[in-house]
This record gives sequence, C-alpha cells and structure tokens, in this order.
Amino acid sequence: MSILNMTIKEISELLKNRKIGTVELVRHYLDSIRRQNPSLNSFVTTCEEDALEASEKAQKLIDSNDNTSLLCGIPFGIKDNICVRGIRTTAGSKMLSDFVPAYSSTVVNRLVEANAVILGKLNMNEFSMKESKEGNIFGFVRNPWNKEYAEGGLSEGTAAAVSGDMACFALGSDSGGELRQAASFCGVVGLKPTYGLVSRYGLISSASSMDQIGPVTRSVEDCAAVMSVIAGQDPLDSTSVGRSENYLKDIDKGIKGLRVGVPKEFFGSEVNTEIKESISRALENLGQEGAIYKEISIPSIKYILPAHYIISSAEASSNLARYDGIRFGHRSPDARNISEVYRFSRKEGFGREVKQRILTGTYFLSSENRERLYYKALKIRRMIFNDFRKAFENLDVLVAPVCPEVACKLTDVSGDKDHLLKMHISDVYTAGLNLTGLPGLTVPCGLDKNKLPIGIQIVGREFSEKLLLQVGYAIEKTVGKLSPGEGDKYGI
Amino acid sequence: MEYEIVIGLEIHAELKTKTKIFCGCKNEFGEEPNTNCCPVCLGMPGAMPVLNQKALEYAIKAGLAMNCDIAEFSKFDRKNYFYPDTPKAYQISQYDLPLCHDGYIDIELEGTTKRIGIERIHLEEDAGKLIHDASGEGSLIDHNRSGVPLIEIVTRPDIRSPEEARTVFESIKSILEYTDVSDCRMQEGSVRADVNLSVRPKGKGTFGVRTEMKNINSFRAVERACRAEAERQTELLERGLEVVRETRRWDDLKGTSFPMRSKEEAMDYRFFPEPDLLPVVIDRSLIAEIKSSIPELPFDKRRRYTEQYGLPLYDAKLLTESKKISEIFETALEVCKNPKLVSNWIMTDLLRLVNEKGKSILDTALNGRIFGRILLYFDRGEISQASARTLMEVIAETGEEPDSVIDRLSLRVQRDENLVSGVVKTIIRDNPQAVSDYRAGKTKALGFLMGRTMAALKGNGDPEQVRSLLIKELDRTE
Amino acid sequence: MAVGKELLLKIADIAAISIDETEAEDYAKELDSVIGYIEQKLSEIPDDDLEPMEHVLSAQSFFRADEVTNFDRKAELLGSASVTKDGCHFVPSVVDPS
Repeated sequence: MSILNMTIKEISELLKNRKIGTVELVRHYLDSIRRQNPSLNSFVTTCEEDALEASEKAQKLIDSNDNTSLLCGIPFGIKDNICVRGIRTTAGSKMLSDFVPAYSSTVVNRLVEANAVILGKLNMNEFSMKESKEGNIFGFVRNPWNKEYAEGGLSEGTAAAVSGDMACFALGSDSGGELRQAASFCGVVGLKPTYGLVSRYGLISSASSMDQIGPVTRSVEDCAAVMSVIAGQDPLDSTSVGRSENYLKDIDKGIKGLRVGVPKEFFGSEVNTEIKESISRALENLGQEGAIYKEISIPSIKYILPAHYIISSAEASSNLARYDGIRFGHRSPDARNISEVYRFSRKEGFGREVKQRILTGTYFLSSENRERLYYKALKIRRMIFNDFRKAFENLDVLVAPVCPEVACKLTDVSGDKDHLLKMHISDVYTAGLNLTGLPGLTVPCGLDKNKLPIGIQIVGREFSEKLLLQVGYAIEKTVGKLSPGEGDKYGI
Repeated sequence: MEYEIVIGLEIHAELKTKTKIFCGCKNEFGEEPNTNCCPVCLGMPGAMPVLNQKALEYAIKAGLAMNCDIAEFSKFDRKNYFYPDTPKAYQISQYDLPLCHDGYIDIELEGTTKRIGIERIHLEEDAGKLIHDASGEGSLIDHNRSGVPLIEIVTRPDIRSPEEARTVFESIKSILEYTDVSDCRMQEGSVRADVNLSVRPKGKGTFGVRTEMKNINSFRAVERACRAEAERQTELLERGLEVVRETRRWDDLKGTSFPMRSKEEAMDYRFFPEPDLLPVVIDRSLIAEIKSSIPELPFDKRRRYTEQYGLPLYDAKLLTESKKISEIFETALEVCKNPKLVSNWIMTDLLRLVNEKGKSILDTALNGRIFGRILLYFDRGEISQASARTLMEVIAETGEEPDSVIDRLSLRVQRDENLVSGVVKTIIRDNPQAVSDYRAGKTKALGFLMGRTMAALKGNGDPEQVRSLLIKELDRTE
Repeated sequence: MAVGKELLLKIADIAAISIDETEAEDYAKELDSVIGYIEQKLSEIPDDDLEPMEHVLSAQSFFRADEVTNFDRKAELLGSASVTKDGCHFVPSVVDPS
C-alpha cells in the first residue's frame, strides 16, 4: 500500500494494525532518499544499517506490546548540528567534516527511547548561518515543490526531507527563523518552541541565548506528538526549564473566543501580496471558527533585526572560538607553530559567511564597542520583549508571515552579495521570537500562483505551545494537507 | 625620596569538591592524563555546563569567612581568549556580579593588627595543564584540571610591604584551610597568587603605575617577588624613568621578573554574560546555614589563645597556623588543662615527631586525646619528663595506649616512701666517700647521690622526694 | 568608513583567523556596511533606562549535586583530535604561559 506523505499518526495506525511492518517502512524512506536525494540534497549522511536494525527492534516491541509509543518505529531525520553518538555531525562546516561525537543530544536520546528510527543527518547552512555566496560544503538544498527553487538563502534539509517524503518527520533548530522559514517554503509544519522548553544539550551552538530545537512535521498533530516526547527539563542543560505535556490531548478543542492580534508592522508593503491574501483568508477562516482578530501595533518590531544581528554574531564569535583544530575538527596541515594552528585551521575550516559573522561578533564584543553596541542590543531586546508582553495582555496569539516572499529561484540566491543583507532583513518576521524566547508555529496556509507554499506564523506567550498547536490544527483543518505536486487539487 | 609600596593580591584557590565545577568528572590531582574528562570539560560541540552546588557553597563559605557580602543575585560571564589549555577558548568566570564582595580580613604583623579589604571573591573554572614534551617537538595537553572549581580572591590595594603581602597570603590560605574549602596544596599549585604592585612617593594620594606578576605559588616567593619588584620600580622612578604597565613573570630561581605582555598588547577578553547558565539566586537560609558551619578562624583563635589562656603571641600564632595543630592543642587542653605546658610540648616534641613520622600520626597514634593524656600524667608528676618523651616516641611508633606502655616499660614515678627510703639507705651505705664529702660541706656530693638514687629507681624517682629523703637520711645518720 | 583594512586585521587577530590583505578589504567593506546600518538603527533609540536583557528566561539556575558521573568513552573523545601523543592532545611548543 502507498504510504506516500502519510503522517505519523496515520503510519502508526498502520503499524499497530499490522498493515505494514517497520522494516518495510524504513525501506520506503531509504528508497525515497536514494531516488530523490541526489537532486534535493536534503540528507548528508544516511544510516541504513542502523536504521534497519532499530526498525527490527521496534517491530518486536509492536509485536509483543500493544501500548507502544506513537513514535515507535517511525523514521526521522536530524539536522546535522544535533549530535548523535557514532554518526558524523558536521554542522554543515568543513571544520567538522570528520567529527563523530562520542555523545548524543538529549532530544535524540529521548526519541530513541521512544523507539523512533534515525534515518540520517540533514543538510544545513554552516553553523546555521545564511550564506549567499558559496552555499555550504554540501551545496544548496532544493525545494521539493519545484527543484528550480531554493529556500531563500537557506539550506535546511529538514523541511525538504519531510516535504519530499524522505522522512516521516525531522528535528531542526531555529536561531533566527531558519526552521520556520524552511518549513514555510516547503509547505510543512514547523515549531520553534519557547526558549528552554526543549533541551539544547548536544545541539552545536550558534547563538546560545536564542537557539532552540524543534520539530518539522507533515501535520500539526505530528508536531504535537514529537513535542510530547522531546519537551521538558534536562539535567544536562541549565537553560532548560519547561515541563513535558501531552500536546495531543485536546488539540481539536477548537478556538472559540480566541483573541488574535495582527501586528501591522509585519504586513508592510515589502510583504508579497499573495502572502498577505493567503494569511487574510486563514484569518477569516479562524473568524468563522469563533476567533476574534484585530490589527495591533508593536512599534519596536523595526529594531528586531539590528538587535538580533548583534546578539547572534556576538554569541557565535564566542561559541565558534572552540574550533581551534586541537581537540576536534579541522587542523591545518601547514601550521608550524601554535599561533598558526589556530589561525590557519580556522581560516581553512570556516566558510566565508561564518568568518564574517565571527569577525562582526568580535567587533561587537570588543572593549570599545561592547557597551555601545552589544549592551545596547540587550536593551533593545528588553524593549521588544516588553512590547510583545504588553500585546499579550489582551490577546492570546499573534499572527505574522514567516517570510515576506515565497521561495526564490536558485539562480537568485547564489552570487549576489547584496542579497545577504536582504536575506537577513527577511528574518524580521521570525527573529523577534528568538530574541524574546517566545514560541512560533508555522503552518501551510496556501499556495501562490507558481504552486509554491505559503506559511502562516502563529506566535504565543511563553510556554503556550498547547494553544499554538490548537490554533494550528484549526488552520490546517480549513486548508487541508498540502503536498508537492498536489496543489492543484485544492484549487488555491 | 622615600617611597611607599602599594600591593594588591589576587589569590586563586582550587576548591576541594568531589567533582568539577560544571560536569561530573572527578576533581582529583595526580591521575593519568585525560582520565577525568568528558564532553563538557573538553568543550566539545553541543556540550553544556551545569553548576556544581558544592562549589557554590564552598565559595560562599570562603566569602563569609572573609566577612564578605554574599550577592543574592549573581551570574557567570565568558572571558574569551585563545590558549591551548583553555578548551572552549573562553573561561567561564564572573565579571560584574561576583558571588562575594566587600569583605575584609584582619592580619597580625609584628604585634600590630591591620585590616585588609577584600574587594571580591568570584567563582570560575580552572584551565588544563600543558606538559612540555621531552622530545622538544611540542606540548602535550592534559585536561584533568580543566573545569576544576576555583575561587579568585581579590584584595584591595591595602598592602604596604612585602612582609605584609606574605602575611596576607598566609592568612588567606589558612582561612581556606580552616573553612575546609580548599586542600591548599601549595607545591601542586592549588593555591597561587597574582601580585599587583606599584610604588609612590610617600604621602602622595594617587597610586603609581602598577605591574602584575602572575602565578606565584609560595609565601616566600610572594615576599621576594614584591621586594624585587618594589626595588625595580623605585629605581626606575629615582632615575626619572617611568614604570610601564605590564604583566611580568616572576622567576623564583633567578630571583627576578621578566615582562610578558605590555598594555599595548593587552588582551581584550570580550567579557559577556554566559548564555548557557542562568543567573544564580541564593537563598538567605542557605547563607545562614553555611555561616553556622564556619569554625572559629585563625585570627580569632589567636586572640582567644592569648586572652583566655595567657599564651604568648608567638605561641598563639604557631598553634593557629595550621588547623590540625590548633585542633590538637584544643583537644589536648581538654585533657591536660595547662595551656602553656601543652603549647610547649606541641612546639617542640610534637612538631619534631610530625616532621619525622608525617602528619598522619596526629589523626591516629598521637591524636589530641592521647597526647593530652601523656601531658596530664607528666603535669601531675606521675611520669617524668624523660618518660613523657619516651612515651610519645613509643606511641608514635607502635600506636599503643599510654597506660599499657607506662606499665610495660615501668615509667610511673615511684613515690612509695618506704621503698624510696630503702633505696636511699642502700645508696648511702654503698657510697661512704660521697657521704663524707657531703658532710664535709661539698654540696656537689648530694647531686652525685641523687643521680645514683634516680638510676637505682630507673629514672622514675620524684626528684623532690628523693632529694628530701636523701637529706633527711644523711642528717639522721650523722 | 568606520572599519578599514587595518582594524579588520586587528579583529581577525583577536578572533584567531588568518586573513590575507585582499580578503581583509572585502571583509572590511561588508563589516562596514553592516555596522553602518546597525549604528543608524541604534541611534534612533534613545538611551533610556532599560535593563539589558541577557536571558529571556526569568527562571534561575538549578544546580548539580557534587557526585561523580564517569564518562566512560574517553578513547572516543580523544579520538576526535587529529593529533595526539601519549594520551594527550598535542600542539607545537607553547613557549610562555600568558
């Protein structure tokens, strides 16, 4: 039977009713990867043998126990900055092209304990930094909806793998919006949880005060299912604080009386009209379901970008200092003294954009600029945080675009240097949540005239994931599931 | 012109926790290289720090012992610099909100007391160790020490002489030892000092340009380094030259320091708040609990020993220098209530035995209670001084109970008047020459007869009793 | 221009990245434009008494008990290094501790 583009929930049902076996399921995805990955470039490492072995174990559990977890036997992919013991983990960098961690991240351990099956590691921008010039060591990821298209400066294998049916779900990370943006470009569901809700232990840091791991899935329910497993405090991560919840429970509760805010700063002239229209339709649908929405203003939105750029660069410059060629990572063969071990290894191991960000961050933190720029950015962060908090005094959620544009053509991405700033400017819709720690869920809400997906972003208070998923579920219900090549069916 | 020396110390001390500050690796000295390390202390990608509660408590304890205010809200920062012994290329330390601040210690030097301000005490992680490769090709890095908890104690520039600097260092070390937060193994570098020193014309209000000398790990070296640096700076000023603000390395063998880095190339550490650790908020009740666990500290003890026990300051200082010795003193004193006697015996015989047999005998054979019993017997005149000495030596060797040794070796003083009289009579009978010398007025002869009697009593005679019995017998039989 | 080649090379030195003269110009140009944009944006905001926000979480740190948890895959850890000797990481001679 065809399991193409099925959700976790649907597949789990088939597994439990013995309609398919876990091994057969894994083979389906491995075949799909073999067929599609050469063009989509989503996976950078696959673990066929381990995956088959894990799926056999999962099958035994299903055969002997009716109460296996929803994720038992479900194959998934992992962004390549999330450490898995014994599997090469590169963070998309030449620096770590041979790095095999001796430890696993907490999220991966939790999923493996739930008997989900690791298919492999997914492509990403080097250390999650957008790169316009050189791509990364593994090259650009292509959009399963149209292989001529990229993900707008992103190379997130997560969304492409899920959208292209190469994995049932994926774990991504979001430091400035990359998880949500990629999900939106590829027409899948993506959640950046509240900062602290999901352990970062084993996530290769980019901007520590903003990085957060989250699920990329085919449905809102799937997102809830994965969150139920990965969320919750971890004794290995001092910045993890949340409790785990059953996010699936009451997901279909409905949104009657939901108070929705629409910040006008997120819907300026730079936002593509089709995106605006699509989001308006989604809002109207929410209204019909009983939600009340109104336009609001969050003036400090215009300072998200500089604050985010300063803080993320500063933190990255320090986080990436440990890559010195001594204990792990690339070491220059030409280094003749200790200073050259540092300077050459880092020159050779990092790509252009990463080096630019390290230099920029070093500048922001230097004694002459720290007060004036870095601390100022922290003050702006407070201002933005306060503004969002104020907005939530009378509202339950906000909606925003994920990006001002849909996915752009590959040819538009590479080679254009000024594109860099433009790319970062598009982070305005997502990076505010990284600055403030608030959760954001992106759900597909339509297709544009080129049959490329459009996503809507739902933003909530701290630890309001349950509500976000309920709202996302309501939107998904009105839009229906979108899959590449099936857009016509929905007549959007 | 007369110059005044201004010194501030920064003292780093390793805390004696079981594990490292941010991971569960053993905090232990002297193991095979890289046996106590993990992804966290090696700074591997994705690994994250979690603060050891004991390290926090020890730092608070040290702060309270030095009369500091404990910050209810404290945080960690990153100090960024590249060095091969620093795995993450940043040290997790505390920059603007240290755990402890604004304290002081009282020191005593040549009979006068002086108060030295403690600006701050903060918590941070130690770096690894570089081992020079014998082949000369490179350096090996051992990360067993990476992530060992350290406190950095920063004094105010209140110190005015090399001797004072030494005394401050000694006092701080002894506070750390008393509070049991650090092993203070000086020779292994678990406590080390950085010296900030400047000189200025006496009477001038502003400070001169200072230099910093790093990682000095003995009291003597601190004093010597301060003296040499003060001389160097004074000489520069007298010749009309300027002192350059720089970091210098003190070479204790050569007795001189060398410049390491000048201000121009000063490191920019790019401090910023550690995003991987949340602020530390300290409960008042925890502080109270820790406060109640702090024992009497050396300075107070010293004062009490002189006031309550009437001991000379010299004795009090020596007895309080090490916590162990003061404990022996106090326990022994509970048994033998003669402070000066106990003090004398500690400073002479006991310390000599400790030197010979090692410190451990103070915990076992010659613990305070046993030592006190020996002194009690001596003080009561039940054993002689020589016997007390013999007793200590035998016990240090065999670990026996004092009473059984006294019995086995017949060390008890013999006071049975009939018995002693009998011996005296025998001695008088057997030494007619001496007896007639005595009667002829040669008092020396009495000493000879006493010696004979004591020998016959195997040294266990009571000299007073023997003497009076001898005189009585000599006078009677005349 | 706020950031010239010379300043950039100084920053690169602090960041321990070897950069040649021509690259430096390229990096400097980009850094300059980013900083130009950022400074202009920041200047719009008055320096009020906002408290810098270091952490978004209002929570405080939890602690670890002082108990040994032995990491048992040390060989794998050391195996990540490209150069080792006698169970240690190995680098060209480090002359003077600073």
